[in-house]
Amino acid sequence: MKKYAAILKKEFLQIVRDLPGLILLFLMPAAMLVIITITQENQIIGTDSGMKILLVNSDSAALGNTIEEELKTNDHFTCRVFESEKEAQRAVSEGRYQILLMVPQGATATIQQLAREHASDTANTGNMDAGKLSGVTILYDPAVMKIYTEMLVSSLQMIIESTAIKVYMESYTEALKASVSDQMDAYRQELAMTDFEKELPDFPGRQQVISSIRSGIRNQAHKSLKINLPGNYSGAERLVTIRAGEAGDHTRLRRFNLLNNNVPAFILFAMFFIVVPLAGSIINEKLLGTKDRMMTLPVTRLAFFSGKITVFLVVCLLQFILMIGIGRYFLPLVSHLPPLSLDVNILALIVVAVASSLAAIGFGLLIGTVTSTFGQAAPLGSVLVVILAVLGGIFVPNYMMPDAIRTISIISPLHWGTDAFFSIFARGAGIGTVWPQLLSLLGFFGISLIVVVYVFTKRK
Amino acid sequence: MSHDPVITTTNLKKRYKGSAEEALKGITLTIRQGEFFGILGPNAAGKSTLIAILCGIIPYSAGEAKLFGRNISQNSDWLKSRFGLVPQEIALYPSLTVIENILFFGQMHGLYGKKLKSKANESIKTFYLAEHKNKILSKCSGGIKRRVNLIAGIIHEPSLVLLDEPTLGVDTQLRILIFDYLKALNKTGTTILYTTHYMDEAEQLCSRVSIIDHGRIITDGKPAELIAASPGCNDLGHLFLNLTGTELRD
Repeated sequence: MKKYAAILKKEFLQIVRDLPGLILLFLMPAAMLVIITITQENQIIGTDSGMKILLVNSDSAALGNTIEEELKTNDHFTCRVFESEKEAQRAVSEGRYQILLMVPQGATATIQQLAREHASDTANTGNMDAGKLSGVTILYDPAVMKIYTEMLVSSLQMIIESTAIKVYMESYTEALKASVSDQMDAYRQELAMTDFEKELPDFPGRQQVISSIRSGIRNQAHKSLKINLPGNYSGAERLVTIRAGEAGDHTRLRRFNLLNNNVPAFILFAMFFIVVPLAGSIINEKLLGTKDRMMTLPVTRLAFFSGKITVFLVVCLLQFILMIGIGRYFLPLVSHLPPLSLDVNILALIVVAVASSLAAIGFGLLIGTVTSTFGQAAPLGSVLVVILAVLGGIFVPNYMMPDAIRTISIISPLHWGTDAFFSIFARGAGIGTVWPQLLSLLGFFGISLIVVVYVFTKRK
Repeated sequence: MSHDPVITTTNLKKRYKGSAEEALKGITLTIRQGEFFGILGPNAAGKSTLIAILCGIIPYSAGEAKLFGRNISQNSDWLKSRFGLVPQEIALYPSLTVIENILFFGQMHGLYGKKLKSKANESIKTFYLAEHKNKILSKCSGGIKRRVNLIAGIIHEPSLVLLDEPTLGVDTQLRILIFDYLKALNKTGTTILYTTHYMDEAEQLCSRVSIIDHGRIITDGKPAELIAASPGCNDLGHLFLNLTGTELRD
């Protein structure tokens, strides 16, 4: 323990005496967070997303099937069909899919019934009873940025509305045909009665009666067909009601904004930025000969690394606090964004921050161990951090990536970290939800440490 | 004072990975307690490799090496606490001060509290570092760094000190100070293994030397006896050149 304390002190003195390096560690990610968030605030984002959509088609008739076909053939979405509504809702609330569309049982039948009523001559097309309409539900992942959910919901509304109109028009045309035919038959029946006077016996006032009936028939002949054209509805909201909202437990959901996305992303980026000084510190030990000297001393390998781990853990946690502070106090001052909400599961937030820090430290130790010079470590470390950050969804949300990149992104520890932070900030998640990401982060740290201790102390 | 073997190597060999030639080709030597033993040799003769093996920094390929009767591959804390290494390069932390470096290595050797403080102060005094002790090492002269490098290897008063060219790049004044210190240390019974390029150093300090070249011991014995046994040689320098030649090494 005393040796650990001595190593800790040595590491602490080394890092605080490299003041420019220490300032850069905090300043650069902080500057990126501020600049990128302000830039993104007014950004226009393209519509060609690669979002994953879930469909629960309980209708299994014209409306549901046509929507399913439309979604499956749409290049902008990746659509998967789920049978269970409950499973589908969970998949979206956990962020595995970005949006869920649920078409209820009997949706087509309801529209068809509506069309038949409109086509019949007794229908009153003036006021629709919303209770009789088909209700389609759209639920989206609360961690998805608002601009994307709005874009997606609007695209889905268009698909649903156009499909509903198609189904409605088909039924209406059919019903109208039947209605016209029925009315024509009725008139024909009436007109067929024009030779009735031959059947009438002679009686006083017979002519007046015949004249009166003829006059009635004449009036009938001029009666127009009653056809109700489906022109009374102003849009498919008259045919289908669409309810859109966030998936998951609404008591746990947090209002999502750009800060919920950017602050966690740049926390991870800042933490992994320590790769340069940490790897540099390892290389220094190798180049100065202190590593060899330490190996001749009665000090365990773990004690040797524990000092570096502890000091850089403190650095990472300070970066975490700085980023949270910027999101909560600074960015609202310089933008129109609301302050970052800390009405989240604080324990989970701290645990994820520690696990992410350890993963970043493991990464830094690995880079320092596999490289021999600063010339190798600095470009390798910094470029790898940027690549892992891109894959981790730091700059472009993971759900906007093409499938191939999204598949590769699961190897990025930054992805695990941001995913866990998003869940906590946007989905109101606790440790019970983010444990897979926590295990991945801690597992990465553990494996890195084993490799580092083995390779670093392996004698030539 | 007992004269138990402190260092024993038997047919010790070392081949570095990817190297065609062995760096050590069967070194057999015994160094007893209280000896001031010099290992002399031109560049790339195998001196630093031998020291690195004895300290456990690198493994040997064949043969056997023992410190205090124990195989060095055990690499135990017991062994590590009984010797001190003063490496050729300044293996210290440049952003720490002189005193912080001394205290740190003292703690790594297991010294704490008053004992550590007293040892550090004693070393500071012995090596005239009082006015420099709070200076950041990277801003110190080469001579100060060399002194701190030496203190970091001997502060815990080990039974065996391995010095790999400790006077490299130092001025005459400091060289004399180091010599005097090492002689005094040796008189207390500390065994010293000393590698150097400077033959006059070895002749002045060492009770016994081995000259190694191309990974082999080419001669060993007391300096005076070796010189006497070589006709035409009046000092260790002549003997060294006679044995190793004038051809340039790596």
